Amino acid sequence: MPRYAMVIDLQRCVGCGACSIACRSENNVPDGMYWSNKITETSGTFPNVRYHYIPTLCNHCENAPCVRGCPTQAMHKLENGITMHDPNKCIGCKYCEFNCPYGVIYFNWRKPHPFWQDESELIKGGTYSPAEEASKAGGKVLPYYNPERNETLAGIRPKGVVEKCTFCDHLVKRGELPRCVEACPADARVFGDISDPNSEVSKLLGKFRPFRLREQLGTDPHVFYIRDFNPAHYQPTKGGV
Amino acid sequence: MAKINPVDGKKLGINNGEKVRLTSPTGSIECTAKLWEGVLPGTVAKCYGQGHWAYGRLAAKVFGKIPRGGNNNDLIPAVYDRLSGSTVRHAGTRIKIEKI
Repeated sequence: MPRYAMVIDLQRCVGCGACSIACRSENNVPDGMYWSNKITETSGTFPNVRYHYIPTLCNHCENAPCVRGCPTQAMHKLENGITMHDPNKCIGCKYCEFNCPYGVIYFNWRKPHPFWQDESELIKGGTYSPAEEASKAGGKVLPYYNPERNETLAGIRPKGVVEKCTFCDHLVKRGELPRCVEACPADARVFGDISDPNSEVSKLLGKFRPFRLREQLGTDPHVFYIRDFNPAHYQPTKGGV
Repeated sequence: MAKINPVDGKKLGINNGEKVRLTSPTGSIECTAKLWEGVLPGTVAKCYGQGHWAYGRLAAKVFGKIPRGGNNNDLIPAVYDRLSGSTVRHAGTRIKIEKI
């Protein structure tokens, strides 16, 4: 079986956020949850300012703390290395959320997508209510509801369970790339089988020295970062004595 | 959200997240200040997109009445493109910042 991994090239990534938008529409992710997220930092003072942007997602750790801590095995590892969640087994204890050192697991505190269930009209007799708009568009709760998500996970996760990135296992299963990888306009995200030495991810990891987030914790994350973007310029010099 | 360099913020006594009034020769708006190193001292950067008063339930604070945030168009003179008739969008103008 393959072991799926992702390589994110920080030299190519421009921080446009297309991955996050694509993820949201593919996985029907509610407001306030970020299956695909980012870490940003502005450092230095003008004119020596640097801005760092690291796209983040579930790291699909080999030694996943969320899986080890789950009392009902709702959070589990698939054979292909994806860390997957089963909302039917989830009891909402949130141990996985607390155990995850990356903060990429989110709990559904409320009924998801409350905005699209609102039945009040902004202008009486003039506009649709959000609920009406969603139903006219033929969606389930959301007007942009993606039914494909329902193939391996609840299309919209109910109140009382956790949810997180699944590497788009429903797409990977039928030989397609995760949506964030597909949507990246700069080809900064590379997806593939890390156990195959000829896969693109293996080649990139051999060519560049990768780093992983909080590697020292021993979680063995399967999201790797290579290179760095550095726009800083300086006059060529030989120094002096 | 008006982005101001911390150097200017200190000079004007403006802290992160405080309300400010921006005044140009054509008008005045109120918005929130954000101190950010990414903007040149002596300048203010402000994105378009706020200050709608009738653009749905999220964009306006009270639909049809009270806008949310400030609209840059209030600060920029009405200059229209000769061919397309559209207004200038990525414009620069002189402004005064006051803490409210």
